[in-house]
Amino acid sequence: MSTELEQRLRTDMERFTRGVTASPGLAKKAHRHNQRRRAKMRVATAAGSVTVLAAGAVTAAGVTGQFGGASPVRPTQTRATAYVLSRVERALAPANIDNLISYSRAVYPPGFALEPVPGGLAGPSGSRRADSLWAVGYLLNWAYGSSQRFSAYTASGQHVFDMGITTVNGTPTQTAVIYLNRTWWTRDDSKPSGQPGESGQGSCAQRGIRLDDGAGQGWPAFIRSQLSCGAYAVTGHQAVDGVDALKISGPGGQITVLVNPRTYLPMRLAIGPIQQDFQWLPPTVANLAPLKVSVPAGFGQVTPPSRPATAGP
Amino acid sequence: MEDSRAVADLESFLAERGDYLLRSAVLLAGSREAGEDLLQAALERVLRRWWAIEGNPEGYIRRTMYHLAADGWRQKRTWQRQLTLLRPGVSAAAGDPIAEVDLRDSLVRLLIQLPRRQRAVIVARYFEQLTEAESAAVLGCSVGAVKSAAARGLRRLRELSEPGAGPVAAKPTSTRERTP
Repeated sequence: MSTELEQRLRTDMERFTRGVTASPGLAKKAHRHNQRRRAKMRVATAAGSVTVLAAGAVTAAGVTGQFGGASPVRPTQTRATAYVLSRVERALAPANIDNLISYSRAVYPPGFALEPVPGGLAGPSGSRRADSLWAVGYLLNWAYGSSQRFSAYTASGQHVFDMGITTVNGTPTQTAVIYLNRTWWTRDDSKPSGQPGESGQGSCAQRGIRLDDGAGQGWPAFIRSQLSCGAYAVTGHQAVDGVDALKISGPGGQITVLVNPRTYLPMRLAIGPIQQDFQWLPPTVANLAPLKVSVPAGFGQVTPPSRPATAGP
Repeated sequence: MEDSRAVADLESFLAERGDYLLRSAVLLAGSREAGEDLLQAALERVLRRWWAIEGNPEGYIRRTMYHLAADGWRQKRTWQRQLTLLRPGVSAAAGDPIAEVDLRDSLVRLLIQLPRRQRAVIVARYFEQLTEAESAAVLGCSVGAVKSAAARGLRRLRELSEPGAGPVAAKPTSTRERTP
């Protein structure tokens, strides 16, 4: 039986959609999206391509990483996200995080390689890709303010390189020490490195993880902006070092950040097969000491390589 | 090669039925823009399974679209767009034909306030004019569930459309809805 309401509903729906026409090329567009999606999945699983992601995985405050533009994940727990967001706002207030040293250890799958280059870190390209000189099993990172240090080791613990960024006489300076060939180089980091321009972290995960410098920036701003725009969502809990960490997942579920539910500081970051564990340290003299890169005696100075970073500070 | 044939097949199907599917998608999602996104998402899924589809893909696309809509596909974004559409005194995007429709007395404006699954049942039953059994098949639920969702949806629409029901205050649908 058709009631007056049902009839009116029908009429209104017809009226509401009158003139709506599908534009041509929808199938092609859907196909292109699928191709991009497949490409991203390949990138996440192919070890050779993980290089660029790795640079993203080793990021800390002030370091830029690239990750293929993925469509935002569906916010499955909107209420939980809103709750976390409010907690992040409070817990990660600038005063709380800006005075902590971020120390992290990223572990890479076999066959992974990283090289210090002007502007940051990059995966070796061409014939250098197979060069065992740059094989990296794990990478340590310290970050405090605008200072950074990366120390790379092979899986067996052999020192591969140190790279640091620090301000010397008001000028940001990048220094790299290569242990396996006993060389080092330094450069004025205020000069452009040829690094491609990045979109800001305010963008909704279009370019991946980007942590900017400055008070209140870095992880707090990144988590806040990505939860707000729905690119990242709260997807559950996971135990990390005996703590029931909050799990926040990024585009396509390929990026996972586990945050401490009390402080809301990241405890672990996973990008594909790469895992990075964090500690947040007070800026004591002992904790600040590792930020300085020193050149061992007998190492020869060389000119920096010409290749720009695919990611880095 | 196989991909390009699938795309060509789907394109020619859409040339015939795309408008109709998009109209349903617009009603399910609440706005022209969200409807296009919904249809696009359904097409992407259909293309990924194209090899498994035999015969007319319309049923498959419709089912995918309804499932996405009923499961709160991109709930937040859709909701934000609905807000733009419904906010008093704010017109929808320029160039959107829907923006030109006066919605002040439209039941569609109230329809958007229904829980997603009730809305999906209403669109299936009263826009697409599917039977209860067909609606149940599209939504993947029982005929009884369709009947009760339709009854609840209509009752709610009646209440909302009655004079004195107060200003329309759209609110997000719950993530813990009951199935129809």
